[in-house]
Amino acid sequence: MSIRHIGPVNRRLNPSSVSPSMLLPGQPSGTWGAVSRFAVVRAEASQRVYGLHRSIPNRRLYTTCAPSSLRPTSALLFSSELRQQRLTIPSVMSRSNSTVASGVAPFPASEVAKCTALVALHARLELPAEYELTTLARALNSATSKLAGTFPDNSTLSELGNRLLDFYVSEFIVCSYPRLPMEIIKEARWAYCGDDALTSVGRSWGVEHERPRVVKTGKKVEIKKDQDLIDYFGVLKYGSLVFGRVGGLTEYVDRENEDGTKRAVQRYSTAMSDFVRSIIGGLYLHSGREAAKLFIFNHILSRKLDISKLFRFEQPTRELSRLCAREKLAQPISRMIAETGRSSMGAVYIVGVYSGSNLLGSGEGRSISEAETRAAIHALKAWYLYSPNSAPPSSTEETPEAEFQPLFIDPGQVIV
Amino acid sequence: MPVNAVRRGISVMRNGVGAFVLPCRKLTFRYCNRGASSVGMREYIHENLAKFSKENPGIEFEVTHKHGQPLITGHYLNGKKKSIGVANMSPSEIVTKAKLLRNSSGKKLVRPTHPVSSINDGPRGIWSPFHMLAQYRHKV
Repeated sequence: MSIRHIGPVNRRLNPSSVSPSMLLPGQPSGTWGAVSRFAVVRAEASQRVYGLHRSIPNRRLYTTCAPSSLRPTSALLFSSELRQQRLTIPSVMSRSNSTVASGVAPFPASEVAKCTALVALHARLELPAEYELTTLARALNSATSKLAGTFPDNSTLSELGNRLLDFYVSEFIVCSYPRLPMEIIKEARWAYCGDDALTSVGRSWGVEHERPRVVKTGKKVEIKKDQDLIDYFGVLKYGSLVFGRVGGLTEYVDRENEDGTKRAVQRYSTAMSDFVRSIIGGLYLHSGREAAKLFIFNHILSRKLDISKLFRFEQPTRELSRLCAREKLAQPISRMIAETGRSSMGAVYIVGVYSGSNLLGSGEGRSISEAETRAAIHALKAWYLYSPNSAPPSSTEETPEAEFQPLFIDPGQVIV
Repeated sequence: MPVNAVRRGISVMRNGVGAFVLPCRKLTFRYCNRGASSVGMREYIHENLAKFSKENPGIEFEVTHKHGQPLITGHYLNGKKKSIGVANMSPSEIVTKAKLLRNSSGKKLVRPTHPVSSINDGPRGIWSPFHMLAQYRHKV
């Protein structure tokens, strides 16, 4: 059992100077007394002005979800102890963003383990115990963030995660629907693992991020030195685009580092999707390929996507005719299956397209040509969305005794 | 290019198909050190909260000291918050309220007046009068 009380400490107020009258009357001076005293300290600290990142003032945190290896030995951490153990932010922040690689220090594991948002995120995603919290903290640190020159950023993890994600998503699409045209494959891949989709995934995990701030004209973005670094580990950090009033107009303004150099900026969607990719990359490094694959299937490929709605045909009847010629089938012929109200305003026709005596597809429409076109589209979709329901090649790697079965390979898209 | 792709938006999350992420991401317990209405809340924090937080590792727990009525607030993945005032409640009642917030989806409570819509196709397909057998068709 580990309860950790964490929160920013007001340097002006000495916790030991809090008078006993502030403590809860009638309570033993053990745990509850400490809790109460800490609360007083925290109430004072809420007066503080916070810096660039979005921090929640006036809080103490209890959490119990740190992996056992990271749990502090004592059940309670009091504010006075915390002050001694705390990283001093100014010493961390004084290093410039543009320092060379030698200036990058690894994330301090003991400090990272105190970040409740990180520990809870670790548990929420059901990451394995060997997935270190420092890796999770690194995944939240974008290359454009304020801490990028101080602590390692997520660019290598996201690069690895991106390749893995691309491979498994492409494999899933191509093995499920081997006849899909390239345009549809690209679109489906974007819908599964493009920046927007991954941003939605990251947001559905409850990851908080730095909010862009509006800057007044002539004022620099002020970075307070006393921001709470431990809480800062738990939010997605990136150099966001910032609006400012320039000559009566609202536009993006440049952000500067402490040494006056221009700071790199990134879109929110890029930063959040890179975070999700980094989680996958980190999982691959810590727990191996199978764990990463399972994670991709559980979080990315379990999402709903209707691939049949992604098609747009330019000349469906002609394309179907060319397809039948290529496959040496009888030329498609459209035949009326049913109709109603031909001479009325609301006529409906049902047309089937046949190759010999085989019905390839049927469509309904307000006019005969519309129904004919729909029938051809349905026939083409039935062709392109053929799904042999075979296991993808990567599934044979998990079980050594499984024999690899060659998959269906389509002769290619129909050329009109 | 005979076949073009249409952008229909990104894939849709189905929480529980594959992975399940609890919608409640954070619970805040606000109490007062002096107020009589916080007696139950103080006891709850002292006695029950540690166990509750251990049972729910994916939730971030926050205890706030503020003068006034005690309050539990749930923060959800959809960005919404839900608060329940727990003034003068006993610890056992607060346990119920905390569980209620933990199990909530975070969606606004509304009376469902519209038909339920689904992202999945109906298993029976769409009924068509033209695809019925001829003897069952409606004769005009």
